[in-house]
Amino acid sequence: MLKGLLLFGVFAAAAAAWELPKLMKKRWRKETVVYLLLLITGVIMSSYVVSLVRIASPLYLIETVYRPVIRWVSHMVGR
Amino acid sequence: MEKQVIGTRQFAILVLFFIIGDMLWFLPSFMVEAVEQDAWISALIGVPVGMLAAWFLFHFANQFPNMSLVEINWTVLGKWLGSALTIIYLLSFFTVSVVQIRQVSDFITSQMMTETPLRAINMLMTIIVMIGVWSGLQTFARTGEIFIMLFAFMFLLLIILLMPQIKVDNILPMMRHSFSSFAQGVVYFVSYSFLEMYVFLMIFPYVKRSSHLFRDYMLSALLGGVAIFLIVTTSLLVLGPFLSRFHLFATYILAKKISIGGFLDRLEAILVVNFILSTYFKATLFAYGFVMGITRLLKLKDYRILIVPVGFMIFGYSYIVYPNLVVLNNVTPAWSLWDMTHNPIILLLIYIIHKLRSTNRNRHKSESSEEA
Repeated sequence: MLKGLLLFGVFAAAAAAWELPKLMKKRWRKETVVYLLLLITGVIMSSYVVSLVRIASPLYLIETVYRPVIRWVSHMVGR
Repeated sequence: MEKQVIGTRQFAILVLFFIIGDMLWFLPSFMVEAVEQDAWISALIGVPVGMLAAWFLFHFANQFPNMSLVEINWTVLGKWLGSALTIIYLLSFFTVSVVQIRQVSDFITSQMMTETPLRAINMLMTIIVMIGVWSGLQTFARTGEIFIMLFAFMFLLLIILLMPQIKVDNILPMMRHSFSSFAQGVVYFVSYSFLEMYVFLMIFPYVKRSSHLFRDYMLSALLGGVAIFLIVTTSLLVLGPFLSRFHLFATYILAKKISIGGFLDRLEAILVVNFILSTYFKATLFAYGFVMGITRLLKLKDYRILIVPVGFMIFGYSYIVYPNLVVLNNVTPAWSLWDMTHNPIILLLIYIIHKLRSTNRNRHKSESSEEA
């Protein structure tokens, strides 16, 4: 996890060093905040890839939400 | 932020690529699981149903000229509720884009380059998709124009070269399934290809209005529907229901079967280009919708500054979105319902609220003018 964070941290730092000065110069404060927030989220997500950490698939959430509907439909059509 | 405009033909080509998308590979398996040898009948019914869905989306977008989904939600539901709904749509744009990228990686690492890590293909696909988004709508619409002929040629080649291997017995006996099974098949056919077109609500404001826009759009939807119908039917006729059901990449297996006179075979690698092309366009459109959605929602000045951070997010999420294809396959019914929630359920609700408000406004106007 730490190795992943470090690797993608370096990539992200390089990207930020390229983009942020331009944004600051233009005084685009909102853009700078959004950029940083998304970059941090991206680095955390990418670090899972490098560290091969598996978390529960977000698709299970879709399945859990719609399971009662599927059951109800199956019951209605007698399948 | 510069205003990018795409022409009618470019838009129609994007619609065509989008409808075929990843369904070139997965649809036969999904549909045969629901209706077995009758999957082709479900697909045939699905074409007009899909056209109806495409018509509704166009009609819906026409009610709000020059507005993207973000502005539509704000106009109809107000700032807070509209923004909350936009976030739900943005999450779906992001997830669908990531799943498209992951499907290409899963296919390549399981069928063609088995020693290559999934992450490597994920990264390459993410880079290609983000380059497409960075280049802008106009550029990747032009890319579509360039590739459409190659795509159509290779698609027709697949169908024509498989004709000698067709066995009509594979679709017999006919009409042996219940109405609910047929309906399930139609839902699968329509949801992944036609209902997911709600991402075009982010594209419509950039399409140049012309007199034949609607005609070309519907023609594109029809061609896309016919193309995926042909894929399902050919898969059934050549592979039969059993193999079509258990091979998640049925079209790839189909392409492997091409052998003309012992000198023209092993065409599957060339046909993989088709799959990657159509999936690339679908992934890029969703990624573009996501980036543009954030830009419009937060009223940012330039969408291109988000490319690198969103690229990181897509790359990371493409690994964790699902552990393997079995999970994705199991989620199919829930995914279809998820698609139906976005389009038409929520869009229909927005449409009804908009119509009711317009009627009320008109009534108030006429009443106040009568009083005056």
